[in-house]
Amino acid sequence: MPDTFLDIKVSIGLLIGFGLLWIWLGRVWGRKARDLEGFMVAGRNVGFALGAATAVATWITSNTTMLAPQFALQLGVWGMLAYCTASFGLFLFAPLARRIRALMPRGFTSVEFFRLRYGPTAHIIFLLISLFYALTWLVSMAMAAGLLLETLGGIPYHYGMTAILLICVLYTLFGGLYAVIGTDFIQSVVILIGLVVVTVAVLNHVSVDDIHTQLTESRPALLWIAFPAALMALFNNLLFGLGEVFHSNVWWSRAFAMRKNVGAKAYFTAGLLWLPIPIVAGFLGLAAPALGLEIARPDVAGPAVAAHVLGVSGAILIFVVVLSSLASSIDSLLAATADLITHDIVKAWFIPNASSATERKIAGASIVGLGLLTWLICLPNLGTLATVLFFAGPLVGSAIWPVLLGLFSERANPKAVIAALLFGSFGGLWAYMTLGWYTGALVGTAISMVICITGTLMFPASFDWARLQTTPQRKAES
Amino acid sequence: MSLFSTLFLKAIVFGAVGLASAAALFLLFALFKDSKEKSLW
Repeated sequence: MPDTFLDIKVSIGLLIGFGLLWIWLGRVWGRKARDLEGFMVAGRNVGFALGAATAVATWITSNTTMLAPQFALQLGVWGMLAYCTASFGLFLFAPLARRIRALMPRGFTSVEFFRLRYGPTAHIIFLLISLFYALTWLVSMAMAAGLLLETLGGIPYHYGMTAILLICVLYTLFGGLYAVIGTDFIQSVVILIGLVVVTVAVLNHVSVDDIHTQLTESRPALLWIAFPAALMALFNNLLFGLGEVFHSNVWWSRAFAMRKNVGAKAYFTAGLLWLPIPIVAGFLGLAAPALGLEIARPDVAGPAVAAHVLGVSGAILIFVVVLSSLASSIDSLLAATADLITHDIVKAWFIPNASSATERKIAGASIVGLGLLTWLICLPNLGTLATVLFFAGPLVGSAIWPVLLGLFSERANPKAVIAALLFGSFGGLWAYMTLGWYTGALVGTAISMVICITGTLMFPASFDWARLQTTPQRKAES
Repeated sequence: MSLFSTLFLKAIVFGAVGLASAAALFLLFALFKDSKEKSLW
């Protein structure tokens, strides 16, 4: 295996080329994002095509394109299928998106929902969970950017990480959610086409029968239907994915941004469009032994296979796919987390009467600040930081039931929800550290579910749904 | 068992490649349709 898959001049050219294109598009679309509604929720008028594409692109992280081949190589067929269960988050968020849009037609963030639905204490706890998850995801993506650009294109870690962050900060700053959603469309199509081209090229070199024969002879465990480690990964991935999507403002902000009657359809379609990606990417890992490739590093199995069958053009394709998958997640996280800082910290606690124009400025400053903070955290290149994201599993798992009950039951008890968030998070973290990584999200979700349901059944509350429409924005206007 | 597992592997690989290709085409078609109806955003 070569030290890098692409000549550094080519990779720098691609990085600059795509970076300039996205920044230019951010400026063009930014003309529509002058007011707060335009900047934070894209004018609340996003249609089906862009809505579905942005959900697909955001959910395709560099993990999907790089970790899926590794999963396939280490956990076999069920490793690929385990990764596919993350699409359930998108499928099941579809009815939630419809409900969110109906209950909060003028809403901005998921934390705002918690504040109005469950009160100030739940607001703080849910805000901390949301910020922890968003920041760890952002840091893990920025670090992955540095490492992958170094491995694939020979660009040193600090330059690659800085360049990706700078590009994403600039176009998100110029165009807000308009720029994020617009570029997401391009990125989703690029990723899908790139992966299909590479996979078809691999299938032209080696048949599925050959791959099956090779695996049967050398690594039969990878074909087992009941490979225990893969089955555990499947279950944990499913719950982690559900918690990630249900609680995160990345997905709520898109539900607020999509036109009425579009959200549910767009999210369900996005789940369907996302479903094959881990299999297509994972197949590259599964094909490696049949192609006679010695994979020393499973995390770069995908690029190794692409470069082997397609030469330089394969390496370019994979580089562009990885670049797109990184940018599509980083921009979404920057925008959605800046919304939380602006709306649920600064406006909620410090400047309650802030005008839309002031909020728009704060949102811009938050994007820059967040980019800078992420850059500083990523600077020392501590590999262990990227794994901190997995600590978020129990935390987001504990938020699944509070979100579900809060949206669909007027009887949900706020005190039970607060207890569920706290005990679910800590119980899940305990399980993660003592029982095993694959139990964290499961235990966190289970504890939270029991507390939420029991508390609500024993001490039912009564919530007036109209209160969700009384956002601070509307108060200031009235 | 071996035949079943080969068929299973074939089904998921070819199914996924077909679905991913259809997904890209579907997104482009949906964009074209929304653009024609002036309902992109």
